[in-house]
Amino acid sequence: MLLLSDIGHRAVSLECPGGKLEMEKVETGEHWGTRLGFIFAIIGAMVGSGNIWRFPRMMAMYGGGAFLIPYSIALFTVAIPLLISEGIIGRETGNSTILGFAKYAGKKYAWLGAWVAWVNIAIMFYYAVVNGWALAYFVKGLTGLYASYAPGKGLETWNAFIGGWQPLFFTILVWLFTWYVMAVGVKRIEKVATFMVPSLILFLVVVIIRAVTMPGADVGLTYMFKFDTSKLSNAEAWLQAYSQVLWSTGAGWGIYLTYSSYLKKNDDINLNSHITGFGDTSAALLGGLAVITTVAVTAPLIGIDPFKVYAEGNVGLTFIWLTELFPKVPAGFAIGTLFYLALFFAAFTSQIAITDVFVKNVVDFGIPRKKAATYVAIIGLIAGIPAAIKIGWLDNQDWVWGDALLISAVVISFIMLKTGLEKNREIANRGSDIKIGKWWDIMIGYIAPLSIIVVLLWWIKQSINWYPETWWKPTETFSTGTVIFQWIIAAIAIWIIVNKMLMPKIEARLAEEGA
Amino acid sequence: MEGSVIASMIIVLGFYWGLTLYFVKLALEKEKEKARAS
Repeated sequence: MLLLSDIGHRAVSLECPGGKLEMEKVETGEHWGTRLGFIFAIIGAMVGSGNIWRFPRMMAMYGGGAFLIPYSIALFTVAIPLLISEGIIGRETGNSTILGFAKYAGKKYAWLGAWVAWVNIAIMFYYAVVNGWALAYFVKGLTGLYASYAPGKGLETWNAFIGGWQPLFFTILVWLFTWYVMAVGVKRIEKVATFMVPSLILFLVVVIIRAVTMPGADVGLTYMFKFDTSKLSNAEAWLQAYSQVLWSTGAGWGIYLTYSSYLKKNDDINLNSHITGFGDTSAALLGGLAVITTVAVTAPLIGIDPFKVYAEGNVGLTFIWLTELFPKVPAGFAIGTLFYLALFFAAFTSQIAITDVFVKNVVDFGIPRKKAATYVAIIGLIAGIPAAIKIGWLDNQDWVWGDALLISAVVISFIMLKTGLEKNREIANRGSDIKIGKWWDIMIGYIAPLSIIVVLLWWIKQSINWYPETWWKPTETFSTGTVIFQWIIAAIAIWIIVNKMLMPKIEARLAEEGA
Repeated sequence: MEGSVIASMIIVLGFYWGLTLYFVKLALEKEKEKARAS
């Protein structure tokens, strides 16, 4: 067992690839209290709304149970190798992305670390809003929304909600809760996750038991688990599996890197990475079962084809249809409320992880955590206002920065390749409970970046097809133009800020630690 | 419900939940070993 979270100073030697960064790392700051606490925190970070509303639809559309074949291959070839890579940088440097990259690969790569951080920050701005929706729908449950059925209630409730003051109000609440956790740091992240993650699993199991014991559940189970291998001959199934794995497990986002910065020098990396990948998928399967079976047993009761509901997008399925359907479940008042509480727990534990990438990057430059948390919460709230009041803005940001995560993943692979695959593998194996072999070198150095680039090009090609005439326009919500335009602006701004303004501070921090 | 769907469900859930719980159990055992050794 690890010791309880402590603030300590411990001089340790930091192994660095290629012998370039031989230095004495003064290990200061926060650490996870227990191994189980870290596991809950990292699973909580990776299990988000996407596990509940996207995974089951992908599974059903691309072969049911057979979808897990390309998905599992993607997990082993891309996600787990990336998580291990992030663990290496985080544990070895004790820093988040900016200073972590500077220490581990050299100061000229600090701006790439800032890119990884920025993509998280941009997502954080709108993710707090989605989190607020889940919280609002939980509160609506407590006030009786799922107690009685009325035709059209789901859409009516959603339209009244999204066009009013409530999204902003609940976003403010989410930021208050986030600040409460962030101001204390890893100790409180661990406490919150240790409570929320098991509760989330328990709530989903209750919803599943209620749904599968009702007539018609077999339609949903068949939809989700039929084993249709014919879909696997379609390249799209593979590309969606790789996309889902990257977005769901959070590999390459910098979250695992940041949480690993609270590990001690000889703490495990490899086994924790496997637990993260498998735990995330296990939770996604529960989320899928809860949603798909609930729709299957209730939609026919109001004369709707369940397949019509499944075909809805994320928001339509979760915030419109399920709201309409929960009153048809016996004890729907409790079941619906519990479901949205589970969704809030899933989103909130991800929210604090995404926010911590920002906060830890600020703390790395000597700002006290409480102050850093306050700055970040204020910035996050203000920058999130457009997403809270205009759903089109949220959709655009989700499209632009969701794709940018793929670039972040390629950046992590590049850092591994640049600093030496074999050496990095030896570092990962030091202290780890399971050892990785040469397969990891091949995956992280070649297979992962190539696969991710193919997936990215495929998404870009898709977006050109969506707007054949205006794909280049930055003003279209889901166009290629908006992605490229915002990426270029962000990359230039990041490069200037890091290399022209932040570099003296980076150099000072590196000098302090003897790098 | 078809037998193949039930089999698929058992394999998928068993594989992922089985391995997740096995890995977590292994992690906790290793922590105990490390604590005993130190």
